[in-house]
Amino acid sequence: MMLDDNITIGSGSCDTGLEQTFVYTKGEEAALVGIVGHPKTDVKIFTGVCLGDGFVRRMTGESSQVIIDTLVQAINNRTKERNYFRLLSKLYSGETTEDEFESTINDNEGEFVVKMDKKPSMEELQVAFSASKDIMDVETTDDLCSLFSFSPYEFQKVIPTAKQ
Amino acid sequence: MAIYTDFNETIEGGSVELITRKPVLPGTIVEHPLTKEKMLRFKMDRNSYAEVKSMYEPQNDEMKEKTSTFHRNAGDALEADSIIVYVNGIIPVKFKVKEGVTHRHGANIATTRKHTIATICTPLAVHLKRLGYTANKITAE
Repeated sequence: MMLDDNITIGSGSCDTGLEQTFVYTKGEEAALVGIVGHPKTDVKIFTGVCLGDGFVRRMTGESSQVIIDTLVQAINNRTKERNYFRLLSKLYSGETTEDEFESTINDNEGEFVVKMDKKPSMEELQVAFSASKDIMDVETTDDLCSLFSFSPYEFQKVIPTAKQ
Repeated sequence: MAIYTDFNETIEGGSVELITRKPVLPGTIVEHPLTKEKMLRFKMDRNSYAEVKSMYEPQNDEMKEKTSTFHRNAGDALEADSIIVYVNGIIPVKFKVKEGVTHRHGANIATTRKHTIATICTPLAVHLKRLGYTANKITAE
């Protein structure tokens, strides 16, 4: 069974009742992992060979943490934009004065100001690019950088090193 | 004094004239990655133009070095489909509509009075195609 272009999973059961699964990934982090499990005891035994630490990071959940952190950052940045629009609409409707508007933002920068200072890692870039296809209003690299808090200048340095 | 049209070309000025068919306002407040100033970031979409009206000198040598690729002479301009603008401050820039700028279409015009940085946007599709995230890959190898 092909999950996507890079991951293939094969499974079956043998005469002893043990269930066998093989996971094969290709590309830079090529790995061949055999998983043997007993249906009654629910114990799984892994064995395999892989290049680099990409597969290990996936198995140990480190990759998942990067995905979660990157997406949470994007949600928080959109929330900061929403907070700014809320305050701005209060200013325009006369509910707050310009001085109050400025002091509110200056006193609570964490709620309103989006930082763009992060140097993206390759993993974060992969997550950002994959997610950007489904996120609304991400049309330019600057949109992507402000959404995920990447510095556009660091982004330009990292992107030529990304492999096709 | 020149007009720049390539991706990532940037101008910086104390006052910048902005002309666009469609300003995407009110924008977002960001801490600019180089200057670390609190600036309002917004996009100008379609037939966009930005020109330095008054020069801006970086505060120190370190900043000069970091922003060495920026164009700062009065008259330096960007002409592109989409331009990202960073203006010092937190109040949105007010655009005025002027009809018949290109005979057929009107335009939105504004002139900033504070430190302004404008950059020509790179479409995300450029990177997505190059890195194989879309089926529509670049054919020229």
